[in-house]
Amino acid sequence: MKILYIVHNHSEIRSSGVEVYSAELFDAMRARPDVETVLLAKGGAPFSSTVRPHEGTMISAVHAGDDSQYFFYNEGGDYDHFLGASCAKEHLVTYLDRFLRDIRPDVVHFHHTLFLGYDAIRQVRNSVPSAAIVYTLHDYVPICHRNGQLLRTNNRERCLEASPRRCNECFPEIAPREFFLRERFIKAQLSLVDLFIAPSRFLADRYIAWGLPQDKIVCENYGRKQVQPQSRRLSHDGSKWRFGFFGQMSLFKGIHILLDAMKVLERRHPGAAHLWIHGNNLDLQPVEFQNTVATLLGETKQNVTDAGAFQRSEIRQLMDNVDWVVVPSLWWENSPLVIQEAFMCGRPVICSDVGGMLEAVVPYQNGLSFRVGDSVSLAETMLHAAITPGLWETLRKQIPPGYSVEEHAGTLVGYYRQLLASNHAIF
Amino acid sequence: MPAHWSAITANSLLQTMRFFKEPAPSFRLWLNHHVVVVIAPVGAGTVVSSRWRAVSQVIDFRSQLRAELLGFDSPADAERAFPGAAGELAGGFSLPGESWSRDRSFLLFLGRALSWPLPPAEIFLMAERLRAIRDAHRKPCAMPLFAGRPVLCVDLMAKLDARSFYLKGWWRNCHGEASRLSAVSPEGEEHDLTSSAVHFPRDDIPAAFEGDRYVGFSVLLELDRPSPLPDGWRVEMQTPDGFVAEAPAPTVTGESSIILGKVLPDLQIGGDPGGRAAEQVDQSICRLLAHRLEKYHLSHELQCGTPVSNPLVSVIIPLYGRIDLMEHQLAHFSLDPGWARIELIYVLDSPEHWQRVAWRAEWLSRLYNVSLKVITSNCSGGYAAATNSGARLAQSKLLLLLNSDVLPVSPGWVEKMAGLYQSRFRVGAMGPKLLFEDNSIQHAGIGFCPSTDHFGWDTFAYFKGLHKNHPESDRARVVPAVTGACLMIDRELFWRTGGLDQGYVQGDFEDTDLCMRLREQGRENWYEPQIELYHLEGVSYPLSSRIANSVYNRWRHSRKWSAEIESAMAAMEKPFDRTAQIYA
Repeated sequence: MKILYIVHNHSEIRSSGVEVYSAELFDAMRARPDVETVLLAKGGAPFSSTVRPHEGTMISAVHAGDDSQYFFYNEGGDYDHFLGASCAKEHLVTYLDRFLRDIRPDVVHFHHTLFLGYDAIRQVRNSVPSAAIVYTLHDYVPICHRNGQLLRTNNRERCLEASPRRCNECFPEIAPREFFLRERFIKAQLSLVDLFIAPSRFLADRYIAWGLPQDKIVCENYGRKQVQPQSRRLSHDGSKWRFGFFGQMSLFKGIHILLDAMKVLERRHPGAAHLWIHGNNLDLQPVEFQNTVATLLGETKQNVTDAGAFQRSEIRQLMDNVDWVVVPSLWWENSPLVIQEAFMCGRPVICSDVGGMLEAVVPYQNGLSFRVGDSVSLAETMLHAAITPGLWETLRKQIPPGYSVEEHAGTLVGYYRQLLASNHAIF
Repeated sequence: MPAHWSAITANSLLQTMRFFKEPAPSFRLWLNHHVVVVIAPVGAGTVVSSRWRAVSQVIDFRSQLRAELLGFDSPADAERAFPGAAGELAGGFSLPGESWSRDRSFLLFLGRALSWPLPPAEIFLMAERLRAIRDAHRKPCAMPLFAGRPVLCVDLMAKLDARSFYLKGWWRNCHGEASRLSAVSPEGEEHDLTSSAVHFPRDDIPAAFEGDRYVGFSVLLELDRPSPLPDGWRVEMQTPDGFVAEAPAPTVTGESSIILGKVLPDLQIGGDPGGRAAEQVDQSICRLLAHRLEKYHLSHELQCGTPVSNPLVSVIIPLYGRIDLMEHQLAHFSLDPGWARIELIYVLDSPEHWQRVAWRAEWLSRLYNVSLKVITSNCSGGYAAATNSGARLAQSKLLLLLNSDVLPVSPGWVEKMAGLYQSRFRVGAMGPKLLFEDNSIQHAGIGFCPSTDHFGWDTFAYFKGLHKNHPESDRARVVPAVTGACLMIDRELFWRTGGLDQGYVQGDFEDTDLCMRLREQGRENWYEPQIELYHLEGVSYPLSSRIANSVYNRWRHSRKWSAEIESAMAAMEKPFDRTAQIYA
């Protein structure tokens, strides 16, 4: 069985969540003797500044020594962000087509179609009609034009229902009918997919409510490369007051809520807790938000250490230095990788009490939750975590065993085989 | 030029004429305490030292006169530059209006009064400058008084074809009725309009002086032979007491859609649907459309993919502006297994997009595995002409006229609709249930009601806005008409009936006109709710232009079909008609 993974970006170019996961999955899959695995990642703009190196093809190898990883250089500007459609159909119809006919995969598994276009799915169906098409839903971009955040633009209310009227409320400059066209277009392309992988139940439910057929979605969490949890205790007196934040410094990730909570804590219980911030991409945020964060950081010098940006590969080492990992996201999240990583490191998690976060974290079993967006609630939860004797140890003990990427690969291969055996229908 | 411009600038014009009454080496027109326009013969030199001048702008009128716009930082500076300026300002009255568009019209009139039209770019620049100055010094405008001459103004001289013009204007009637009105060609040939012109009050022009009345006129001017000169017409008016007024009549030529936009609003000026003013507008539009269609012919034809042999249905889709809708449709058609038997013809009615459309169509056809034909013409011919030329190429026995903003709800609909069409006895046109994006009804058959402005019968869609589950909308029945957004008809019947009438203005009433003709021939137009599609009404054809055109279309349609409409509507009101009995 030959599997082709199509990713919107390669982990070598930018290593955020989907790229890291898809690289781990690819490695695990490649290690299996029963399948042949090929990876096709979008190259070039906007993630990379390189342009296609060869005339007459848009395909090139990722490494000279690797015969199973390729770049597909469709130029990034030829992409309709609103529809998620490729504007240069000739790239798909000519070059992707040739690649697919040459590789002849039995299964084509998309991780994302961002910058490739949902219509790439159409091309796969055309070029290799007998291949099963699998699509992992990593976020809510097909549903929500606001980068899939499912957060209303006017009041930051979390959104459970996309409709032309509601989407137009978020984007008054785009007519409701355009949203209707967008939804119909995306659904038309996604209708060619045989199986959707949803990393969380919450996400699966969102897509089913949106209209994807229930019998085409399976819940299957991300499997990850496992590490041995560290057990060293960080402080001498047994108190667990070290907190850590890992992730994007964006509004959606709620970093400002966390800093606000640190302000509250310092005012009420000086010295009760300290926070290390490992945050990326603050410079990409709106200036207004950057200023908010800068002000808050200035006000919380006593109990916050801004440790700056980090590499994905360092995350486990950095987590060893904290007792708790805080995930204060304002949006629903899918299945946050940072929670998986915290658990792998044996660190209980304090998270917002909504969506995919609450699916991974069970309060008082392997972590704690607080009212989403409420900095006082977060401050109280952190204080509780820091001063309650034995709580950390109890929660740590109950952290579920990690889901290994090898096991995950096995499950996926099971699905692939089922699809091929049943003429692309799993249920 | 729209009517309100002339209205606003009537006063300005009167002010300007002071220049002619009291010929002086230079003439000053104070816009306020800071701003003045100085009109002087060329060669008089710069009248003001730059020491006081804050802003200035000069326009030369063909090297004979020049108008200089001057702005000062303060009234004191103005007084220094023009001793006595304060006196000139005292006792004046306000120039109507402060906005730049009024300034612009004023300048335009200034140019007109001097018989030397200003280049538009210069007018714009100067008006912008005026606006900037006024914003800086918001003070009341004061103007010296002047009154007493006949005023004549031409709003529009639109070229309809080689030999006919639609002419419209007004005069200030302070000397009684005009005893003579004539148009003078660039060659100097005079055409008497006195008897052919239609007169009507112009209440939209505010009176500059008490007791003033403004009389509008419109006329369809037909020449025996075309004038070789493109421009240079004048209009002359004579009053009973011997005053003569003259106005230049710059000819508007070019895109028929632009001229239509200028002529169409005049349909209602006389206020009488059967009156001569309306008649004249109708004749003008007929000429214009006929002239456009004389030139219209197919210019490009491109087959993408293998042509469908023996198609079940030929689908004709006009494309206008929103060419991206093509991909939306193809993405859905490609999911329909029955589409292999459908002949798809896109007719591009905005030929300027041909290169892009042809390129896109080729790749889209390959990506979506849909065979299609794209055609275009040498010029835009309007919805009816585009649809007819697509239908002329159709191979199948059945035609489906479809809009580019109609999307299927689910596959299989065309075959099903074809089956239903063929099962109906004496069917004329058939239309499905069309839905808005929120599943409310956009179309469930078309009916007619008298319009409130008495210009004929309006159309309405049954159950429009109700949810698609509304029980009564689920009954197939004979309706007066169905929409052309999705209309199935036998191809031979379509041509026997004459195809779509090309005498309407862009995309309205052509469908109901066809339905009325079918009805006249004893055919029945069927609404068929078993077929459902989405129709994003107005996306393929912006609503704003539709409204402007629809009064004319409605009027024309009602004149043709009044009797047929009445009988069709009467049939709808029978409580238990034949269709109700069969399909209740």
